[in-house]
Amino acid sequence: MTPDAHTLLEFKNVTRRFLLPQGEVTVIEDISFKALEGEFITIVGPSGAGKSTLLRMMNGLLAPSSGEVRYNGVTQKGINFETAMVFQNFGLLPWLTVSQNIELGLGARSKDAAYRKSQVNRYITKVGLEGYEEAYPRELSGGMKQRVGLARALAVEPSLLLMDEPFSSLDVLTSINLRNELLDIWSDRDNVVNTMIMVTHNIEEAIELSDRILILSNRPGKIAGELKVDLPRPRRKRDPLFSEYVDRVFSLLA
Amino acid sequence: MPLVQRSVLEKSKSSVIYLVLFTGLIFLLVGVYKGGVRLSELKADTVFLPDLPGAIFLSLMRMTAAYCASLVFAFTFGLLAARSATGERFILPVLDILQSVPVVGFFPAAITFFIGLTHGHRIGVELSAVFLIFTSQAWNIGFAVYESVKAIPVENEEAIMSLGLPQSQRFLNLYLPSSIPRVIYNSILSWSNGWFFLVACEIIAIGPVKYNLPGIGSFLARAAEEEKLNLVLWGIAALACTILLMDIFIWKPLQIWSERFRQDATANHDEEDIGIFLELPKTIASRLSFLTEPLLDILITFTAPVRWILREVILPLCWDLPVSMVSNLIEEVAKPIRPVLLNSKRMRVAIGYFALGFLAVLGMFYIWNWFKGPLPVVIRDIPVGLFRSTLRILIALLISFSWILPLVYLTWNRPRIRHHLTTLAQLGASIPATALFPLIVLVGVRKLGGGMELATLVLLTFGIQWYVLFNAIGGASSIPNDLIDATKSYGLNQWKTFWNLVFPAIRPALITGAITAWGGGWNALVVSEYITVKSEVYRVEGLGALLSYAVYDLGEGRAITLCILVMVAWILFVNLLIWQPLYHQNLERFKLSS
Repeated sequence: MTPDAHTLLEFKNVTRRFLLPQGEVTVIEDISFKALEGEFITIVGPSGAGKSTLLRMMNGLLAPSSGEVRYNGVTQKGINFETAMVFQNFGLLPWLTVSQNIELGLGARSKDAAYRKSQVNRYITKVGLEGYEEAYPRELSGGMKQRVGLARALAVEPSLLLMDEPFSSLDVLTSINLRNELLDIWSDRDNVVNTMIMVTHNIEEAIELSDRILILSNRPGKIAGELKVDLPRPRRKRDPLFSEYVDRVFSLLA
Repeated sequence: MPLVQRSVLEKSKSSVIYLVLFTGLIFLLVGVYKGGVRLSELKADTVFLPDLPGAIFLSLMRMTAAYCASLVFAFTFGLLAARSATGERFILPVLDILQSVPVVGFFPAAITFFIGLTHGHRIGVELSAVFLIFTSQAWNIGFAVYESVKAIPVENEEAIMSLGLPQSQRFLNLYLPSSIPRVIYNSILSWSNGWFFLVACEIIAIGPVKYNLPGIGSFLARAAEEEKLNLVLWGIAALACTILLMDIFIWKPLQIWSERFRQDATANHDEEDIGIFLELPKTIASRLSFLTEPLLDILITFTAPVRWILREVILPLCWDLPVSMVSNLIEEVAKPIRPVLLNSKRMRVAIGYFALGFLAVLGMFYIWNWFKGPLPVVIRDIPVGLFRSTLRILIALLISFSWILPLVYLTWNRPRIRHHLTTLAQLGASIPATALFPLIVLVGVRKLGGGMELATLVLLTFGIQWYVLFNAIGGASSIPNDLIDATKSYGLNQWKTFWNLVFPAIRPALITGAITAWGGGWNALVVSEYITVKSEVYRVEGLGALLSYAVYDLGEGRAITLCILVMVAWILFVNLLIWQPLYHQNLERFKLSS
């Protein structure tokens, strides 16, 4: 990453509070950070630290209580159409087929039916779901469902891809495969999307995938530390340097 | 048979608070009418058998119109309640109260508004009949939409939001499909509820004014009035056939179709087991699917352009555009005061209480003015009437329990017999009990001289026993097999098994049945305590009869208001203080987690 890389996303003193029955709770407190174009960032932290809240503010699903979220230097309001999101439990609509689910987001962006169709086909191929176009989500395995979720996000050709624990409801083998494919998509120059931000609770996953790890502290969520991962890809867990990174993340979490 | 599945129970806590609001509502409904509207009558000729097909057709049209209005109402307010906290706080209690107001209670509003507006034109009378049917169909569908939208998994909603789809697309892709299973299920209940009250809705009478609309409901009532027993029987048969055919050709295919819109693959067994679902029509419907499915396909193909225009042109123009304009406007206006509003919860609470207090004071002032003059004498009978009516419902409940419990004892471990029994019971329940009322009065009271008190009890029991029966059967059929095997393996005899396993296991279901019967019973009571046959009034002493009397004979706004107020308050009060604790206590002790 060159130091003068373009800043895609910027959080400036962002705080988020929620009104709960037991009173007002601050989930995110005064967080500032930048995401550069082309970066792969992971966010780790204990459960309840506000990782998902942070991600939802990047997409615009949630607005900050104070502070601002800037995208390409512009303060964001409402849903950011330049981003797309992948969910832990896929968020697929059970009454739509695979193609219809993928086309859903395109409908908000393009009136051109032919373009939508070609995008759907392109990304169905990209995630390896050929032949399942007319299947319903309930007929698919977990891994395939997440491929649909990924294709739906990629099909709108976002410049920033947001992922909320995308592999945590999948079995180990499936998630290894999908992680590798995700890295391929990230490094593939043909794709519009080259910046990714992912929330995870799996520290090894964070080290394996990302350029930079943001570590959140618990309630209220603040950035407890930041770690650049300078390991050549593909990264191996057996590598002693890898274990060293694991230890450093753990020490930052504690 | 009315089966308002949604009990008043859960939401009644907040309802009490909104009784103040409710008072205002009633005044709006009744207050404008002060007996001043006097309109020409629609002359009723004597009934003949050839009138029957036309009567059925007209009633169907009325029911359909009311049902469409109910759907629009349900989606509007169900969505509003589910999507905004403020909406939830206001709409739910109001819906809850509205669903415990007996249909007859809406008469003054219907008369004043629709008939007064059209100066007694036929269209006005038709509209008020449709409105009255609507009041028996709409509320539970509203709750169905609310519950469905509330039950949408958070991630699915976020996924739709994160894609930035406009509001109308979110509705079409998420809220509408999610609501379909529950809405269809509740539509079936609403239709039987509508049939139940059709008799009351097609003869619109208040004080000296009376309208007869041609339809199956008035056909039955008038045939009974003229003592044409064979016409009453023909009418009941025709009605039963219509209901059965609709079940086979419309509701069962729709229900099968709605399964695909469930969030999870497994069906909700509560909804499967309880209710008016005829197993027979279901089999017939699936046998006929070779016929109904292509029909559905043709329908889908032909409506495609219409749906396209709706989706791409009408909805964006008529929904999303105004919504975005209004929300932008609100944004602009609210900008200066927003920080104050957002940051101070106390401020909002204060404003809310101020508004409520203002309404309450206004309401009190209104009531004071309205009730200043000498009150009608009938209101003195209200306490006694309330007591007697309550007793009547409790006796009807006891009668129901006294034949249903032995039935469960005999059939709980004989699935085949239970299956046939369910089919039979569902057939019986699908005939609206109100249609039988004239028959029972004609034969039981006039010919056999059985006395009106007994007739009312029979009618009432007919109206409410199904709630208990279907809940009991549903409860008994969901007892896990391993528990049954366990009791068998210890060699418990039939009686001991029933006492130690079956009875405790079905207790929550029995209480649910009793609660629904309690709510529905009052509504049935209004129709069954007071009947006119051959221009002769048959009535017993009771709150339902009082209300009918106040509406049909007196047409006195204050008497009507007081009757409705007392009735609704009593229903909610008993729910809150007796049924609700009883239910929760039983659920905790006897819940079967399987």
